[in-house]
Amino acid sequence: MSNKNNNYLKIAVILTLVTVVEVMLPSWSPQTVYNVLLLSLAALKFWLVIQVYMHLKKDPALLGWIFGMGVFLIAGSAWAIIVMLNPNAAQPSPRSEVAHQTPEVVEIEVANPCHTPDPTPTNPCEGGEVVEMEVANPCEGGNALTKDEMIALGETVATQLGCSACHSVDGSRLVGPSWKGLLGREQEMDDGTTIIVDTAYIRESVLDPMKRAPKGFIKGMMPMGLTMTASDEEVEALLHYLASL
Amino acid sequence: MILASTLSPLMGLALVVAAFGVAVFTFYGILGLVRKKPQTVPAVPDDQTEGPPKPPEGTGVPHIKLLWWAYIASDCMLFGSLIAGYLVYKGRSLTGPWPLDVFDFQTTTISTFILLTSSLTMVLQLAAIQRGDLGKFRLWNVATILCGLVFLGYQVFEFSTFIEEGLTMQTNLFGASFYLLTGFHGVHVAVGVLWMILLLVHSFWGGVTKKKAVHVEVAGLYWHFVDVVWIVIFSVVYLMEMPGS
Ligand code: HEC
Repeated sequence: MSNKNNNYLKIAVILTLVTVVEVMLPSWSPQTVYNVLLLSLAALKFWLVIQVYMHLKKDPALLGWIFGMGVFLIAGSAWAIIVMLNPNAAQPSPRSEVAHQTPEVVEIEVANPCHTPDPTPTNPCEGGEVVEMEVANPCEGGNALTKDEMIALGETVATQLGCSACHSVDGSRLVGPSWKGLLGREQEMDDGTTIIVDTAYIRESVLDPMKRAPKGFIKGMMPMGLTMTASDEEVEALLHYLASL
Repeated sequence: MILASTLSPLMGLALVVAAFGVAVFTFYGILGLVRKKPQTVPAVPDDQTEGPPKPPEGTGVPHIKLLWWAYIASDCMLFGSLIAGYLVYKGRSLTGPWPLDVFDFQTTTISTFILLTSSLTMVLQLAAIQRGDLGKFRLWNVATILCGLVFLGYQVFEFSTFIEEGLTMQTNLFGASFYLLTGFHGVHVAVGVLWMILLLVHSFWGGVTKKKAVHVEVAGLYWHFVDVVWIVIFSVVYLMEMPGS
């Protein structure tokens, strides 16, 4: 075996050891630390293979530039894609702004009788029961919305998610069934049954559209991941809006 | 049926990529064999042992190597966007199975190790043919093919287990982005194995020689790159899901 082969073997041993370390890495460390460690080790392996096995170390710099350019371009684009499509990113989307405006509205209500400095035991707010979203209880926690606000937010969400490309609210048929009078209407389904649309069905239609479809519409046309960029609250608001039409 | 419907998009992709691989190989491998006339510009320009000294080439790099590095840089962008896509959808599936329900970390670690080993056999294969040692070349070539096949075998096993457990490309965002990314990688490995087999066959026809070692070298570049991509996929897709992290 030549010197060169010995070198290759050494790299193989290092690669294996790094992989073992990666798998053994204590996963109790904080998520960010853990991810950064993993990515650095992966980058180390990446670099070793490129430099030694693919001979970038010895080859003319031109090849390294070509490859480096590819890596640079995609690293930048990937970062941009992830930041743009991440709902938790620093840039608030117009949709979350709607939700963020509400605390101001709530502040006006602070003067309501539920928050008097000397609450009597009969205060209806003390019960601690779980308050349903539908109940427009003014005593509810900081940023809960009233029903009307939910519906308004839902309409915004529906517009933002592009649902109106396939659904009308005036009864006309587009790619999908119209939302006019959705709640409570009688509807024939593709499996031969006839159902009365209720809130559970609306929820299922939005979150799991592949399950069933109304008769005459194609299952699978309705995109499944549309609600993925929406927060739970926004999805709830969307469902309220659909039930209100 | 589920298997068929999940695999058919992958099969389509496989056909496209395989057709590309075969076309490129036909061009460089078979035509290189047929073209028997003495070349004015040998495949390896720095091989100065025979013939008069040649004028320096523009880039100092064999064109075929430049071509493959350019291809690798572009492939980098393809995989980069698939990985970014996976990360964007990570943790946003509305229904299971979730990664932790299906991943088998031990077996994946072993198959990762096997793919890493194949990079060693690949580079030994190249070193052998650069010395003109055809016997060793064939030995390491077959070893590379075997490693590639074991890796692919595990992937087929992994995919079919996942599908049995209810994860298909249509199930949720995880399924769609996971199968797209790892399937694309698997297709690349399959093309690599095909390329290795053709090199082996070619070596029996007398087409693989010390002078034409650059043809093995570019096959190696492709192989190592596919390995390097797996290094990243293994960290980002599998290890980052490790329980507890
Ligand atoms: C590409 C067109 C398309 C888009 C965009 C779309 N849908 Fe649909 N939708 C359909 C089709 C087609 C159906 C009927 C088949 C089915 O239920 O899968 C449907 C069915 C529905 C139903 C059930 C209606 C009924 O009468 O049973 C609801 C509710 C619904 N969609 C809500 C939404 C919401 C909310 C959005 C936006 C996040 C949306 N859709 C976006 C095409 C679309």
